[in-house]
Amino acid sequence: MSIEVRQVVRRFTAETAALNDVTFRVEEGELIGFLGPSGSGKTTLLRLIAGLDQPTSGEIRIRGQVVNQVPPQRRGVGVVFQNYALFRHMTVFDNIAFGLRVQKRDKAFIRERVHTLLELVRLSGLESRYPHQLSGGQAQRVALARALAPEPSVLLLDEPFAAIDTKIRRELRKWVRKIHDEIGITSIFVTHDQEEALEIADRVLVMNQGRLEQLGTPEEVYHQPKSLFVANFVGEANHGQGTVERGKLVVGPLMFSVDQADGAKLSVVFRPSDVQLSPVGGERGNSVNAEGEIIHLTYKGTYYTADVRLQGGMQIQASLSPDQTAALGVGSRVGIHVKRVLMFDSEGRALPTENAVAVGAV
Amino acid sequence: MIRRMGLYSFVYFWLLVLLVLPAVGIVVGAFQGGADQVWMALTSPEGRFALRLTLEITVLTVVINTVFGVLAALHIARRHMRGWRILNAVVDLPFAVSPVIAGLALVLVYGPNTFIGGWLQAQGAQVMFAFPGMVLATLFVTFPFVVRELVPVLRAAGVTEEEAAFTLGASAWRTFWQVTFPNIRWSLWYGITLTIARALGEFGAVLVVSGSVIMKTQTATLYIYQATEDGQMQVAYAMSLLLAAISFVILLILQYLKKRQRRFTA
Ligand SMILES: Nc1ncnc2c1ncn2[C@@H]1O[C@H](COP(=O)(O)OP(=O)(O)O)[C@@H](O)[C@H]1O
Ligand SMILES: [Mg+2]
Repeated sequence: MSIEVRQVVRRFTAETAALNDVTFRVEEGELIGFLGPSGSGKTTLLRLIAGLDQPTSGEIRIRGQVVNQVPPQRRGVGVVFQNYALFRHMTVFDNIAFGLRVQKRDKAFIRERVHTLLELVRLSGLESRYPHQLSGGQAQRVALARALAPEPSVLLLDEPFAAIDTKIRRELRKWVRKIHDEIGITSIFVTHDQEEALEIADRVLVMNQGRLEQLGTPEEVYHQPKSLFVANFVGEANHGQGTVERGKLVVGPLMFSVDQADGAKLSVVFRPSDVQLSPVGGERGNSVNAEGEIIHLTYKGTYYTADVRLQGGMQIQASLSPDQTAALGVGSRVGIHVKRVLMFDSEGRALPTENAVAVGAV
Repeated sequence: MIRRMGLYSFVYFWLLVLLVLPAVGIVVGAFQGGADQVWMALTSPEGRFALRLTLEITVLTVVINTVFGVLAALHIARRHMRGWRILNAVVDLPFAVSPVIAGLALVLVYGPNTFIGGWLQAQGAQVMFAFPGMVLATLFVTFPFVVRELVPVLRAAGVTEEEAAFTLGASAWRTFWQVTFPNIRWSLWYGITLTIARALGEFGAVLVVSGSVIMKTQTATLYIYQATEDGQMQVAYAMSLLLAAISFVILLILQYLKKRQRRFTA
């Protein structure tokens, strides 16, 4: 079901707003990732949608209907809580059956549905365990089965895998995506892990200090961030600042030609993957913007990250393919070419970047 | 080492002086005239009446204080409304105030010569120096037990399980019985048991509000007091022995409950 949030404000104290004028719309069947640092208001927003908390002002609609006055019991919203929130004195079976018993379904139906769900979350055989006898991953899957049992039209997951190891977590995340696609339920997945958000979601909603920074596809928030915050928070980023002089922006030894008036203070962000390194000594083509020295290499599994110190002391990160490490290593002098750069004004708003090109060394 | 042994021996000596000797004293005192004397003291009309009155007061107190205690504890633990701090501070008042003073305060408010008490009497309801006053006094002195047991467990259990139940469609009533109550059950039994123990043994507050009229407002503890006043030590010891035996059973129950409580919260 579609979810609309309109100009929602939530204040816990008079001075600061945990949510500040948030407006967005989730379409039916979408999987949206809420991404933001801890304390940015993700849980608060989720609780408002679930009806566990009331907005200070603004409107929330589910299937087009204003639900501000509707209690959580009648919103048809399933929630998987950050800390599982399983009923600790009930078995796995009773936990999952809870919502069905509330609906007064008959016993045979309940037994069948619970077993179907247990199979879905791959926990068959554990139905008579108690929550304290489960691992974190198992508990989280029980929480998911419990939330899905009454067939909600919206599913909210609050950092469901935050406390689980990376490997199992990646598996669970793929699998949540699969369940989402199978059931066709509208879902919101909260996380502070950008990789997780980009991987799982149809669209990502980036939050910062109670404000919505951007809502877009993973490609959009990664390649066309609307704000400096999004550019820095989503993906790896090199970050610098400078003042425009005669159509050029100088950041350390790097120089960019820009379309902005002289005197404008701008921020630039470029991804390590957009930085090309080449050995120094060969022909120094037009594409080399500056020179530097590799001071550290970090292995990332399929590629390397090089920390490069430029002339003048500025440090940036660049991605290196394993092939390149044959020629380049710690201590190598390298030429640097920045292929793509993002620009932001002094308020952190994105500027058009078609004309922003790295033009050469200072 | 030797010094430590000396210290520990002192603890046992102290226990002997403080607890064991008096307990033995009561048993010996009660039975010095034989078992049938004990039986007679407890089954005399006055004795039976006192026991029944104590029982009635205790049952009423437990029922009322359980309901209000749970409500007050929820209010304090959940901090839903502003007043929770005030309530939290006031709950301990009965611990801080001497029961005699509590009794006097009740007389000052509900006594026959006061505004409220006078009005009640005009409606045909005598509160002071009657059953309702004694229940009130007992309610007052036992009010903190249930509340104080429940607030910490309610806080520790948190509200997320309840919120999960709400999102699964459960009403507040159903959520309380199926989710909240099982989490606080053993602590509630503990608080109720403490309430029973205290209600059975309450003396000061009840003395002030009852006037201790034989066969009318005389509870078991007042009956013991009366007996010692009248020099009937045999009767006093017999009734004391019964109350002490009940206390001992309660102590065992408390030990069991504490174990359950701990196992549950672990
Ligand atoms: N019940 C509450 N009372 C007061 N402040 C709160 C409450 N819940 C959240 N906050 C505040 O609101 C802000 C957003 O919190 P939250 O939504 O939990 O962030 P996130 O889930 O993104 O980490 C934080 O500054 C937090 O301290
Ligand atoms: Mg959170």
